[in-house]
Amino acid sequence: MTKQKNQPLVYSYDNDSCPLDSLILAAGFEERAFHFLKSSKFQPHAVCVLIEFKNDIPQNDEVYKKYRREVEKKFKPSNVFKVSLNADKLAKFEYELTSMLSKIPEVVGDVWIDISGMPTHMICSTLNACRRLSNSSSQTVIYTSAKDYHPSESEYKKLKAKNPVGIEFLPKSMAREMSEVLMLESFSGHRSKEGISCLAVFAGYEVHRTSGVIENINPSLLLLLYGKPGNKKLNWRLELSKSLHKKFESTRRTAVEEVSTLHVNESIEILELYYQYLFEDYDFTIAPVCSKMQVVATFLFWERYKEVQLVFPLPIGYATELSPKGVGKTFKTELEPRNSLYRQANLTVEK
Amino acid sequence: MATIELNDLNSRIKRSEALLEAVKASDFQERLKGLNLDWKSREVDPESDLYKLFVEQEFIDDNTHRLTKAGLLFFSRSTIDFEFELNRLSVIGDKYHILRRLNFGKNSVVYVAEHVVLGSKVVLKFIRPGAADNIIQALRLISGNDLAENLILPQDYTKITINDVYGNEVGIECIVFQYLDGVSLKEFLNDDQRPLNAHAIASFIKQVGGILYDLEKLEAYHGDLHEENIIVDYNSNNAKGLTFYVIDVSYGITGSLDSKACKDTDMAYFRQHVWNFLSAQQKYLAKMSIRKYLGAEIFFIVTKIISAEAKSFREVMNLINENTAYENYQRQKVDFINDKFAPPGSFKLQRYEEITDPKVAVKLFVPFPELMDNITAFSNVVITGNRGSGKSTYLAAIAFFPQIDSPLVDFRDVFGIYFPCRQGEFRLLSPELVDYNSVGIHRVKHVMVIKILRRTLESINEGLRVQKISEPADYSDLRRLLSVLMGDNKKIISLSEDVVSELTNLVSVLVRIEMKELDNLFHLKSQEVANRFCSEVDLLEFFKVIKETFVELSNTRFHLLFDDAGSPNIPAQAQYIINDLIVSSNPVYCIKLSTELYSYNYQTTEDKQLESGHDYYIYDMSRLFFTGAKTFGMNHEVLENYFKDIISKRLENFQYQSRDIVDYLEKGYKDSNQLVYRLATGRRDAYYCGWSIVWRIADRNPRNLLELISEIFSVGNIDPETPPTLVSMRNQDRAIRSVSEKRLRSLAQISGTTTVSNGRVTSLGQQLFDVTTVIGSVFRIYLKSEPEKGRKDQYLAIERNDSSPLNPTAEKLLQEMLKYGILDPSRLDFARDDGVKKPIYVLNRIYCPAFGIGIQRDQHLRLSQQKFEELFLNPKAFVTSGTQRLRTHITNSGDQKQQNLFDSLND
Repeated sequence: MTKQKNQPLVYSYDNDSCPLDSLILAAGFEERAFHFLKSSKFQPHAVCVLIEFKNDIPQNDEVYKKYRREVEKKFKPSNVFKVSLNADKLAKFEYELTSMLSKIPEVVGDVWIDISGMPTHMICSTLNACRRLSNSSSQTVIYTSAKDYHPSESEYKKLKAKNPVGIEFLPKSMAREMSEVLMLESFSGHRSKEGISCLAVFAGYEVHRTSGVIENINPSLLLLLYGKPGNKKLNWRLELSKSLHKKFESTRRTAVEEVSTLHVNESIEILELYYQYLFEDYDFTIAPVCSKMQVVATFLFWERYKEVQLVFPLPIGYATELSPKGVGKTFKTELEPRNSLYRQANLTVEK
Repeated sequence: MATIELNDLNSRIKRSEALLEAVKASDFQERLKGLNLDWKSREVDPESDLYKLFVEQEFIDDNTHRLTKAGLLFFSRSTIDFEFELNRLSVIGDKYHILRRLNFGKNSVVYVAEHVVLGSKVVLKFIRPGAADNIIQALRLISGNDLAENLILPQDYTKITINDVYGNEVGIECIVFQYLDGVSLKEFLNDDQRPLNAHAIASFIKQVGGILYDLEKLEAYHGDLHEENIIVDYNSNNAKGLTFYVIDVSYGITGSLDSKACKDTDMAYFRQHVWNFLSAQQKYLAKMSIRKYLGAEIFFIVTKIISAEAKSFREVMNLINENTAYENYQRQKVDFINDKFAPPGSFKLQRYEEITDPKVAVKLFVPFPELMDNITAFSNVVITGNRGSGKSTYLAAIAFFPQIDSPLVDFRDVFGIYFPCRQGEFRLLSPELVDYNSVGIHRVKHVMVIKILRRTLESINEGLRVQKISEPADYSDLRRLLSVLMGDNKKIISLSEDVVSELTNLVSVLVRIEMKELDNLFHLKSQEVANRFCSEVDLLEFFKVIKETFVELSNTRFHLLFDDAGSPNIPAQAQYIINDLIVSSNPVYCIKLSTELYSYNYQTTEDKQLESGHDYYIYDMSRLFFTGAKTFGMNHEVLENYFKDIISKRLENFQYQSRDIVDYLEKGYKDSNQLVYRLATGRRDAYYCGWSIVWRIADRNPRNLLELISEIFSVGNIDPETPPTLVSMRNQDRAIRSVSEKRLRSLAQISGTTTVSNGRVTSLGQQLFDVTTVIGSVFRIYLKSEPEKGRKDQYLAIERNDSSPLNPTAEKLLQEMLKYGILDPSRLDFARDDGVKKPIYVLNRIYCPAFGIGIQRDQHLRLSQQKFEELFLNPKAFVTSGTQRLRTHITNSGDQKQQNLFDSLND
């Protein structure tokens, strides 16, 4: 497979041997977040940075211990590092991660970041910390999908039958009600248009978060980017997402696009397409609420245009019983180095 | 671009190996002497030791036994000691006395000299033999033409005779240039403290590209355009603004390089300098891409230059002068946005208009005269009110939007500078992101003042663009003041007016300074910081200079308008800074802000508490529109007509067939008691309908009203083409209940958290929804429990019947209910139990249809502290325990009416 210049490609990864120098992963409570660590073998010198969640989810301690046991089995004790994401100090996470990574020499080597257990803001902060520390190296992003997502297709059909035009309210989702719109200093962008703005939302299924961010930003233009699942059998999810967000289209000038939930390039291309015409007249904000790979795309786009603001609508907590279930495919994406001088015209990667 | 094929390069390196060996040998000078060169004829001795090697190196033409041009240059470089020889000469060409050496190049050596009579400084360029073919001819070509004046051309030519190291006389040509004092391009770009704005690169391309184009037209070239050969004059006394001088033109003095290669080298150097400009500018753009910073117009030009799409300087200048790519882009942009972003239906979208097009917003705005007079007056004002009450529109109405043809105020009297704070511009000043202890509040104030300066100049610049404000004759006072405020008099660089206007240049500089200073708040240690902080005093000085600079603004007063200034849009610490501006009482600028209740702190950075009525006036829109009998509130009819005007203006603007809303709404009941009676008795034909009900359900809120009417029109299929047709009572009811239901449900989506019973953290929105549904449901239970009689009493409010302090969480939730306009505290009444006059909290009438209750307030619940807290913290328990007897009563109809069933529980 030939990789085009500056464009990360996503491909399926089912090799259990990982030639990495360091692995960064978060102790997420979803089964899929544990999969890569559990099923992979690492080199003896490899380093692991494990991110612990410190919040009010009761299962977190137990989940973290499970990760810790597995990490200690697979990495030398001296090669294991821990950093915490404290729920009331989210803004400090990137700083703390950067401080830790700067003390680990292996981080300049082959760094793999498993985003499967990371919330959106953590994905961006982690990528930023790694890429700023070593702007001449590439990074590898690992993402494991789930088998079943909430809501189920049968729930969708029931909702659709009741509300053929637009689904006003959805049953409970994994992310609970909206708490706040998190804005991190790194991703705060630059505002210059005094209120003339465009908000791009990677719309998912947690419509309350979309609603919160639209209310908060109050944009002049709204770009709704719906996630297009790779598997056609899951197309009903696209329809569900559209139905949920239909009501926003009548509140202001709105554009609608469909982009892959997996392929990073597609999201970047569509953002580029819009931004080339918007950047002069509108402040641009992106809220990645949908898939984790779209968050990676959002980050890479922001890296090109730092005046773009990234905002993260946070739920007040998570209903873990509604989390995605099972383990699907694992995907690997190689990100070109941040510094363009180190980018290569063509890279060939093995499948 | 000049290129050397790799194969060619390798063979040349290979060929030169023998020469390098010879040069390294200690006897090389002796062997060179053996060539016995005649400088005039270039002839050498063919029997000499080096002859064969020089032939191999193409330094000697074997047919003529003469040195080639390259050979002569090599020989001269090896055998002439300029330093020694020129020191021997006291005067050059009878005119110039050498002062110091500037540069030793491979084709020439350059000295600074002084004219012995005039005393003026000149640059002498001594050309090595072999470096030029015919310098006089070259000089004639470039001197006899009308070239750009910032190309420094030779002003004199002379020839001197010196000796080579073997004592042979050799003639040396010397050209004389004017000496320029200034910094080189390299030094200029390396100065980190200089705020290069986006237009500086355009100025560079225009000036230097123009010079090179002039040379190109003559089929000449510069030949040596390195960064030391471009001198930059950025002195503010220079009337031309930022000027680039190209010196040391080397046309015809290029050694062994041919003309094509020299032209290519000029373009390569030019591209490199453009790139260096970009690098210098991007270095301090922590949060902006170079594309955004330059803007599309300049970016298109730069991209084409860097990507080598522009292959000649003619093409470069075409880009600057025409830039058709940018014009095409502008057209495509409009088409793209119109094509992709579908406009929504417009009738109800008052807020949409506010955020997208101030022209439309002002056109459709119906100001309430009493309030508008107060907003327009020169004083510090705080406007509060529920969401949708139109407080933002009042502020926007006095802002200076130059594209509006018929503004509500004349900018010559009232110049409003508008900050839509909800966009997040000030949220970055949150203590979570800025460490106020180490940074200090004065540095944050400095950033806020710069924001105000920048925004003001942007507004004025826009006014200049549409010719509402005339171009002043002189910007010097403004430029001087800004330089002082930035803490370094040298910082503001002017650009030529044909590149960019002076004001655009100043705005661009301020954008950059603001960005840098903002970044300093987050990364204090890593960046240079300002050595002077701006304050409210500087702001006053700034506005005075603005008044003096712009004729139209000489009598105006400046109103700084902070819309949605509450937390979290503006963090508390930044609010203190705005309050500093409020207390800096002065006749030039004032502050006006809008905020929701309980979101704004009235405290300065010096801990002074602002006093309402003294430091500022507060206007609560809900309270202002409160209607009541006689002296209690506004006349009912006045308010009804005001709301009718709001609808009328929209019907007119969107070209509906009638401007009178009554023509579209079936009248409904003669009096509202009929609706209450039907609701109380559970009749199916209890319809919310008719203008008199609709505008009251909107509860003094224009946005509510527009949404209701819009929904009614939608259900009744009314559009601009429809002849006035009455929407049936039933359809009106369906639309109204739908809006009410949506409003109620949307409460659950309010963001935030709250801690309720047992320390459980829950969604603020969900809790507000629960409390509201309980309040509405309880009122409904009361209404249903009314005994069979003609007139039913409607409960629509709650009252604290004691003065005991509330639990902080309950207090906070009450504040949130008031902030989001769910409850309205406008009405003051004497409490029954303690006799103290205090607010009673009236449920917003927009929720009444969702609960099936009436919209008039006859009674209110009187709640003790305990019950009040139960309502907010445990609403489900409240409705169960508080209405048990009532619910029994409804089941066993015929019981006596209970005056207040909570009385028995208030102990």
